[in-house]
Amino acid sequence: MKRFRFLGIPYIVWLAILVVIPLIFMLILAFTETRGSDLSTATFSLQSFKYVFSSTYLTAYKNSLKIAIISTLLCFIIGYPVAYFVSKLKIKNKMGLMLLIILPMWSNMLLRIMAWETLFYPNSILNIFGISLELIGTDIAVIIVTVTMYLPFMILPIYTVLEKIDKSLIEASNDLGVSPFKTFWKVIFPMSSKGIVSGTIMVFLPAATGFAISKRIGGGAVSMIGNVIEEQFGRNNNFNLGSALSIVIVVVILAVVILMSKIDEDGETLL
Amino acid sequence: MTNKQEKTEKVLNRFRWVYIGIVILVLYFPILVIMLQSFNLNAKTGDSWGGFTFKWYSGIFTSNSLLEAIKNSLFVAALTTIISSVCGTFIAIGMHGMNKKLKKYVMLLNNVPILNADIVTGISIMVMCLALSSFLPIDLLGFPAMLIAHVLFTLPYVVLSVLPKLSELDENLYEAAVDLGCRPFMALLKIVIPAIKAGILSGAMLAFTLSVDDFVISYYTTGAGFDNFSTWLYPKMGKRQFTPSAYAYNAALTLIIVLAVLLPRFIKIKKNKKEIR
Repeated sequence: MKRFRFLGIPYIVWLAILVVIPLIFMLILAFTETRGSDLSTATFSLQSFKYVFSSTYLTAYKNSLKIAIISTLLCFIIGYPVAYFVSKLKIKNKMGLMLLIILPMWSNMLLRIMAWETLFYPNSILNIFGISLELIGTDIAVIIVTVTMYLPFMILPIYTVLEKIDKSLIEASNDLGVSPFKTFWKVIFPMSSKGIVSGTIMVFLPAATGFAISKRIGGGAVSMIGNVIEEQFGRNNNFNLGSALSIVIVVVILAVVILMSKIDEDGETLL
Repeated sequence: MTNKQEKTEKVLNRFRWVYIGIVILVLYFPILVIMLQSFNLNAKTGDSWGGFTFKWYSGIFTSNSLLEAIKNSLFVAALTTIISSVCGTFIAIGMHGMNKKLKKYVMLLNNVPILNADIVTGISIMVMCLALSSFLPIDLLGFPAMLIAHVLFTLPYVVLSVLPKLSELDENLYEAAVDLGCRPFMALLKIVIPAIKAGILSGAMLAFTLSVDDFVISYYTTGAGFDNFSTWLYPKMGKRQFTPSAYAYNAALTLIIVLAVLLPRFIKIKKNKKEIR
């Protein structure tokens, strides 16, 4: 079937056009001053990057990092046991159980955010049960929603890797008299590191760059990088600063892509 | 196994189920709230239970702007699914035939749209479309840009779901067909495609579900009054223009997707059980 390899060539062109060229436009905008997005008025300027490192935006980056790191850690702490326990269960339809865990992601994200939002105000349908929350505008609320939103992204790659571990290795460890606890730490956990890295990336990136959760649940009090970027392209109409702020994200992602290509060449944990 | 070991194993197993159950409950919690609100007379503010109603469901068909947004969502998702699953399949076949080094390089490129933050994908496509629109007679933002962006971010998932099926494929079947006088392309359609059908199907399903509910990428590529469900909803959240029919639509769509995914599995299991008997 080697003769069909030409079928892959247009894909390289397609990705080059739609990934590289848009990034070049973004770079141009970031290093110039223009009126709106009109490139014919462009003059070279580093002004935008001066702004990027001013305190307003540094706070937004810091906020994003903080919330994304805490959320990712919580996803790992909650999600790893789920993946591990499912892989340990002795039932036939494990894939069905995993599907059940992924299904919530197929409900609209904005509406799920709204569902949480209505519960976090003092007056909510939770009053029926005598519960009244006042969480809008707090980091905790943003973290709760972020964790429940992206938890399946952590569970799935870890589960995929755990299922692929050769069971005879675990048996060998048991037969050699190693305690189950030690077997886990010395055999199973290191072998699942690939899934952990994938899961971490899949949770961390959207958690750090999203803007819907912080806007609705943060109630204007929690400003993340996605919010300040949205502001530049929307209300402020400052495409230069918006692009410069996004370039910082691009640099982080480039590092992540290279890391991913080192640990997971076939992309098997990305699905 | 000793009696004691069996007992601890039993307790452990119960603990596992309880833990998994609690996490699943938390994950489904917002969906339960959406379903509850879709029947709630006070769903507009959503701050209290005002009684049971079906009016938000019938409202789906009377709110023109919502209906338009739903149609756009489904149309973009359907087109994206067709384009991505057809092209993705042929791309995967092409990548399968490449030598190791080239394949690794294309794989790296393939991962870029998956790992790229949605906000960067959206903004970069928007910036390019704006720059091009000064040379082109048509405005790309809106339907064309959204479709291109959706194909861009769903294609890699199709490729990733088809590739493993290709490496499981017995290539001798294809060679045999060609040796028996079948034209290579026909052999591809008649032998290879049916063998990797499962991968194509799961890729297509992923493409549809990712596209139909996408928000961030669609948000930056809309324009010219073209909204999908999410970009229609976003500016109305928490405002007076919000209609709870959005809850109703989402509850219905989620239910349809869940049934479409779980029913075939369920039926298959029943069939297997019958065969065993």
